[in-house]
Amino acid sequence: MITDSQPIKINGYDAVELTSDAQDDISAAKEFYNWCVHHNCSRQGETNISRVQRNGHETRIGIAYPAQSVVDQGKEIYQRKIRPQLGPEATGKYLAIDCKSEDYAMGPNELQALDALEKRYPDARVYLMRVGYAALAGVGATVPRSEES
Amino acid sequence: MIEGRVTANREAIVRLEVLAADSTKQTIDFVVDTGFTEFISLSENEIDALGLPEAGKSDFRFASGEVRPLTTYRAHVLWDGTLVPVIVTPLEQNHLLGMHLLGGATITIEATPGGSVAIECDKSSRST
Repeated sequence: MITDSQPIKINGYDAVELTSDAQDDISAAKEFYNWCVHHNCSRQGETNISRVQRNGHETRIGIAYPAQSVVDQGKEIYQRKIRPQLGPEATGKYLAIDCKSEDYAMGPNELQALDALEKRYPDARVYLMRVGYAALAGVGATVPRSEES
Repeated sequence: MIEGRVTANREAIVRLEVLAADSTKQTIDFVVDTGFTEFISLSENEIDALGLPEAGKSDFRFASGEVRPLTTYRAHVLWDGTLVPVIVTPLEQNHLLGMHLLGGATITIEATPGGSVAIECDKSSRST
């Protein structure tokens, strides 16, 4: 059974080769979901199924990314590529960053930023942030300005 | 106007309908929480039951001072008769109604058990 399959590592992330018919998206998604549940992959992470050529035939690999990896990627993209482009007027605005294309959209709230980004990149892997603040939002807590501001 | 009540535990509660993209809906009591700066929170089980699509990953700051990454989701809420898009934060505690969804509203709370809660919505300014 697929649920008994031990994880393999793809770029350091937990992954598994799926047994479903390579043309059947729904079965592959269900199979990978069951495997993730069985192996306690974080529900807070992201899963991705990629078609790859393996031993001369097309198969699928399911990869489980922890939530932190997308956040770390997004922060790195922001610091390296986006922050140098932004002026002081961007402070307090919301950014939706696509960690695949390294493109972004800005808005007065995260919903508008997200909508603008997903129009251009429907399968974006999204990191949401607020420019100049230490977190997107607070739960029973104020969010201080970040050191950069 | 959205009306609610204050519970015996002194929580200001309002009842809202939360809808997924396929119109699956749940009626849920939310605690009005001015310390929550987002839209609404639901448990992961409720997010699964509604089949909500993912919005993105974000850092959240908690009352302990801890900053933690969470996956957020998209949904719609029936807000004073209007269906509005919201971001759902997964939290395993009370369902919270936060300041982002309350944006522009005037809240009146009779802060005693059994007291009334009234939210007068300003639809023109809510989106920002």
